Amino acid sequence: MGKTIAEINGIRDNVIKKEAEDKKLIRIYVHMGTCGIASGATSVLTTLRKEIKENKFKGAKIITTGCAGICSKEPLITVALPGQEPIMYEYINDEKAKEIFASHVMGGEIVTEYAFLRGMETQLKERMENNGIIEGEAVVDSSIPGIEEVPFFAVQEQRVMKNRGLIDPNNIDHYIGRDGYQGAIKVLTSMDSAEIIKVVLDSGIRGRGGAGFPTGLKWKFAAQEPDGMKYMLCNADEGDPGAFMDRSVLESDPHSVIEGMIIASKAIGAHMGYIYCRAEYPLAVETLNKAIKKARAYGLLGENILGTGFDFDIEVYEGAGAFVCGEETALMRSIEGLRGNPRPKPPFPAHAGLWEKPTVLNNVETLANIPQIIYKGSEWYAGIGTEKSKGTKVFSITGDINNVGCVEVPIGTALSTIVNDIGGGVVEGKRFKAAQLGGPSGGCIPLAHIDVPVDYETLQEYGSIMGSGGMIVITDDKSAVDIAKFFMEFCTEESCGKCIPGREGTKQILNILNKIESGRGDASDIPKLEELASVIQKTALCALGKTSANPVLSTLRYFRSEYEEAVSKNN
Amino acid sequence: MIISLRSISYDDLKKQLSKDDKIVINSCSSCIVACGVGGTSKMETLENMLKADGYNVIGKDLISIGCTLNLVEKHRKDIKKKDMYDEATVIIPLICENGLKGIEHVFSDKKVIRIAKTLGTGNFTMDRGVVLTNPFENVPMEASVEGYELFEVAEELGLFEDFFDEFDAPEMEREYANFTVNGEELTAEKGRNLLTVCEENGIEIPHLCFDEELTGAGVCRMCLVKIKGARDLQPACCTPVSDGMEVVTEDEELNHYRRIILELVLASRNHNCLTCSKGIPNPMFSCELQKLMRKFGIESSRYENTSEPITVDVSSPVIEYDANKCILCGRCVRACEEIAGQCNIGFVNRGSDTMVAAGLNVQMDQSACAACMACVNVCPTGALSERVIHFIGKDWKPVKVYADYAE
Repeated sequence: MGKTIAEINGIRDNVIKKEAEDKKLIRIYVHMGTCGIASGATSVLTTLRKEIKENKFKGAKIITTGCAGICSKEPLITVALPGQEPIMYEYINDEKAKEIFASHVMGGEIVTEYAFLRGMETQLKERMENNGIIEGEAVVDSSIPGIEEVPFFAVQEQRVMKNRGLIDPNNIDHYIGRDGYQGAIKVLTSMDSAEIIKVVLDSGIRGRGGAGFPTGLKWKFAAQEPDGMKYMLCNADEGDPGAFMDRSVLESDPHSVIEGMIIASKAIGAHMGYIYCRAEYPLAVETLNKAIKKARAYGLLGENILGTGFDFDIEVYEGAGAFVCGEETALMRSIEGLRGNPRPKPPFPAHAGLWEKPTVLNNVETLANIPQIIYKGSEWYAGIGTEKSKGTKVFSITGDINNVGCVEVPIGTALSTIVNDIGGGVVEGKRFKAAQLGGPSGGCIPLAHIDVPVDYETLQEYGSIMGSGGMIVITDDKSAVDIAKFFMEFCTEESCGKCIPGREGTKQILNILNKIESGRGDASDIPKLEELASVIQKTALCALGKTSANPVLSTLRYFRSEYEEAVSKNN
Repeated sequence: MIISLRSISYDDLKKQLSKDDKIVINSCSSCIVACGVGGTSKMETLENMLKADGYNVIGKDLISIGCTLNLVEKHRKDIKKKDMYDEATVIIPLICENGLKGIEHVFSDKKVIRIAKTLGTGNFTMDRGVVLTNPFENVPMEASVEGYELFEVAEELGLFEDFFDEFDAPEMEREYANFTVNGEELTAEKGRNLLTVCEENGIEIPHLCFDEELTGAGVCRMCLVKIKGARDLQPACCTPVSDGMEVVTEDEELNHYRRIILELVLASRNHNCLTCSKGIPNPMFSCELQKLMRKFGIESSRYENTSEPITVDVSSPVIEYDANKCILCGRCVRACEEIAGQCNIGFVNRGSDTMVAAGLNVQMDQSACAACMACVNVCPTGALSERVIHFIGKDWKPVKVYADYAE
């Protein structure tokens, strides 16, 4: 049977109590996102479990969590001794894990050599305020940097990812213990549709999928549609090359997305939801399915949620590998079981979406923001960000950069802060050339503009887009034509083939780029590229088609001389 | 071609109906369309008239070849149409008497009203339209090589030369939208398709994927127009008209886009538009792509054509599928679903590898194709064609097809 609200609150209190008790134990956190598992976290986990068993060591507890954020240092583990600061270790393998277990866990001696930092991300604010001192946690080895001294973490503002590296994504109690489902309880017991939408509108949150449409407005349109069958969808078909923010959220904190969907469905009057997740994220799909099952068992999904009389259920729908299915109308066709092709808008999905019923589609990150907006209020949320864009944005920084990982910063943070401070600069021996934002639909920001604030309007001004949060740092050993070619190859392959500009236009742009790159280009090719790119931008059917030529236009804008040089041989 | 004429007046039709009847109008999409008694527009006219007179028309359905019994059966069972047909009490088929037999069989539980009388076989002529050349035995007219024009036949036999006259029914209350196209003020029923409305008013908008009997798809992007206040260019074929709309269908910018799109099409696959024989001015089979190429003066493409030749599928006895000429407009796919009720044609692969394919990507004769020609009739290029037309220009050789027993 489902639980009551009092029972959920009881679980929360218990978890808090238990966590306080747990502090008397030795806790070993193994960070197991896909990134960690790919670098060998599973084997590290097995080793640690074996060590505990072989040594018959009591008083240690292993907690598996999602990605801790800094993927380039995986596998990471965190060891916390009672009354001491937690220590995070980097680049762990089986031998190192054994060594740390023997020395730190059993002997209490920190292995400074492998240590990355002191403290945990959740304590960041407190540590910053108190000069790195946490009450009740002794500093043992001050030669290891505190987390507040590591720019990668210190500059970030954790909201969407507040639970990362801390909770077990497969344990619903962990989420409930950290104020989880309080937002859902609030809307189910004391708010009506108009009130929810007002809070979301006031918070100023805009869609994190890339287009930046105000989320509250989207909900309002769907809520205005007459009652009847409506659908609440979550877009987890993250397909941009180099983007992994949504995966990180789904793997480390799936319940925040589920809670966001419950709130949204209450706001628009939907009773059925789908999470469209790409099948290439097997761990995310598994985590989500487990989370949904757990939420159902707790009565947080299904009929009569927590006894409030509201019905809502979610199903996970796996994509079949098409990038274009991240486009909203194509995504809906795909759920219907049809070929995932976009269709012209209007009619907009808020009016006629999935099975021609009013539908709202929100991105994973958007939905993960919602519970906190409801629970903490719109003013809290709008407290950071720029005038037009509030809150934080998660970026996955990758490419030729030292700290590859997921970062969450207030909107409006300078690009240079993200690249140099958080990212730790480009890899040694190379120079920064540009950062590609928004994947193949976006554009690049060159060195000259590295200080621009990252927000929707400014990036657009510079020929790029905020996008869903993929940020690829490119160094000066790559040619602009190559960069454009890489993204055009992607767009050509991933075109759905429906409209002529999207299908034939992208192919012809790629043809011309190939020609230029192989030294067969001539001066007429550059205006031809520009002409074709602008036609595609204006005439393609869907947003993905329209933006597919952006990498060409943006590299032409900033690195035109490289194109000219490439074609100059034949003049 | 089978020649039929309307044999019932509007008043007589009404006498056979009651206000409690739930009426479905369906029509064959073949010969009867050429005779002016069937097709989508005729179904719409009749629907509007009956509705204005207070009758309950619950739906309409176009059947690619109405005299093919299993097609009619399929339509009745079609998941999207089943409920409508189950609910109906009266069927008004715009169909020849040959097809009527099948309709009466499939809908034996319902009242079926005959609309047309079938008179014989005939031809289509360029100057006189459809003519009756070989009247049936029970028709008191002589066979004629030149043929009789339909108005002559109607006069001779006391039938109706035209379809039902809209003025015979009271005017329906409709919501109209006032809007401007290229500065010209127009009025049309709210919600109607912008492209059709423009064409009715003599404003041509180039298009390739649109066919008025099919749902709009917005694929070819040729009909993109500017609408004041809209964020992007909008395909006219998918835009319903609304009050106060300000539309620009043609200017230097839009024509520039259209030219580039045509050049892109020309650089894909093998479109020998300047020499292809499908440009013959035959109303059923002329090539729309070629017409547009000529209109925009496109003689060559500046883009490289890297396509490989594709084998022409001649497996079907009646349909020839030449994928080299396909522009992937999807009309055939929609026609196969919406008019034929077959869903036998679809898309395979992605991006520029996309292909139109029959069945589970097999040759036409290996698929469940009913050879109803719905796809051929809507194909805007020479990709899907009726096999007979490829004999144009060749000498016919006499072939003995049956033994002469007199010898």
